[in-house]
Amino acid sequence: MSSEQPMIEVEGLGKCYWVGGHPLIDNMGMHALLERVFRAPVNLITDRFLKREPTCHYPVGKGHMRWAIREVSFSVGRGEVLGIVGHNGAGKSVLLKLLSRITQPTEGFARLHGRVSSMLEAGTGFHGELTGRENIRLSGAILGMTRAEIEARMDEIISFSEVEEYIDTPVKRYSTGMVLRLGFSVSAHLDTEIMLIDEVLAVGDQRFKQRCIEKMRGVARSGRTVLFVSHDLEVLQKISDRAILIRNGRVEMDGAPDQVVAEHLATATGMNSG
Amino acid sequence: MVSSIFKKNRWPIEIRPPSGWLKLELGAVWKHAEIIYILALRDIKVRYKQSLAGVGWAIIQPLLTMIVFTAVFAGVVRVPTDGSPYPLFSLAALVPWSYFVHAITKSTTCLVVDKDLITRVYFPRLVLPVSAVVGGLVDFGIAFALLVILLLAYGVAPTAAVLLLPLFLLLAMLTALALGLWLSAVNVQYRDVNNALPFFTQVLMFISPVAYPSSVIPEKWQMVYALNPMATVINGFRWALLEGQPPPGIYSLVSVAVVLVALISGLYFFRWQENRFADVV
Repeated sequence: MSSEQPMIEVEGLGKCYWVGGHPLIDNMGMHALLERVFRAPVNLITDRFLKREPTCHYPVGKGHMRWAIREVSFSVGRGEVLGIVGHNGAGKSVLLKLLSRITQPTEGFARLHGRVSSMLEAGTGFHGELTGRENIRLSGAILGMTRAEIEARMDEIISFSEVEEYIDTPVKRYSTGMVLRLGFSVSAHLDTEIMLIDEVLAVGDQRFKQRCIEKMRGVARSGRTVLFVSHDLEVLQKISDRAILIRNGRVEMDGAPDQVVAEHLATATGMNSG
Repeated sequence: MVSSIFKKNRWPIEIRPPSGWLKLELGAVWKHAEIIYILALRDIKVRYKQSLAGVGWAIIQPLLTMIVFTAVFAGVVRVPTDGSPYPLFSLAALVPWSYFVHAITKSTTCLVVDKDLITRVYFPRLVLPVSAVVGGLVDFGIAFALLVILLLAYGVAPTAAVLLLPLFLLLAMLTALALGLWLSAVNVQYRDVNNALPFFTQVLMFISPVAYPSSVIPEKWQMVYALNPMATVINGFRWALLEGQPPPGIYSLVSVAVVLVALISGLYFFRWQENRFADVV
């Protein structure tokens, strides 16, 4: 399946977040502000010169750092569908957010050999006040496509989404299912080399799920790379060529989908949080 | 089978922790000009869609302010106007001023308003304040039409200086953008900015020559007065549109310098903060 050069290379990727009250966000008091003003530049300089491990400093307040993901490495080839499995809070969504450049990593790097369209949390960056059609244009523009290129795909996108009747209605009046269908249709039809999908199948009905699965297979056959997060293990096994298991922010296993899913299920019973 | 649409882009995309010197990457903003257009269009639609007066709002505000100003400053206080009829004198200032207030308010709140976009898709975030400033131009155009009608009604003919009007409009846009860059980036974390903004613009109006001519400011303070770029914008509008108004003097260069410094520093500040927007907003 995968050819000479991988489409996505991820090497030692890590992202840390503040948990439990970031002193600079949750209590925006004077003390925190002064900390920020005087401490931050000092840290910036010492980091640069001491080549210190990239961690977040500012040890003020009640908050602490937590690595959402750390030392994540894998690669995905052209036309490959990679399923990502893990419990809630394991770091799957953070990984996709990093790859779609919404947030920046704390350490490590990723290299993407193509344009990325993403659908993270059924919403895909739609704007409620814009109509379905205008949102399609917006999505295309965000990917850097020209107006003509977007218009050329317009009909295809609309017909797959099955929201023809409401395509000129503001998206804020859509049902969740409609937003979802349109969102998936947009990211599937705008010809990006890489497609990131986070948990789309959770909301859709059975028929739509089936069509998504077929579409994703088609997308992969046409040479595009798909990264796909789902709790629907059955579907994941069906469409993935390979899967990785993420546990506590690290890649625990990388291999055939059924083995990864089996491993995931084996550990599920031992966990007290789902 | 992957289409050739993206051939022109440079690969690969590198995703790394922020480090090294900050690059502004204004080219990326230009490449996404289409987003600016779509978002500006959306702002206009949203502004007028669920409203009864619709487009009228662009006119009502400056028009009513002009009437109140005329009653107070021409009828009661008798402010000098360098020979122009007071309604024209004030409207020539209120039109760019309303644009400025609108643009600065929109650009300050743009990151919070478009939170859904920021947390879900990647694009150069600079696009947002830029589209806020550009979108306000439609309102400006409508209000400007009202001004032209009033000019015709009073039989005031523009001089050759009218050709320089776009420059003063550009100065107003850049002033709004410069402030918008700073304020929006801070507003992501400290919503205090949003609360303080109406007060800030109100104070700024008193230190701008909206209701009075800047010639009432003593000569030795003119340079300090020009630190407010909107003073030059308003003087420029009056000079370009109303015969007999004095040209904005040499101190205009002070205003231009202030705008450039604020704009360039604002761009860097915005870019520096940009990485955190999605995590913080």
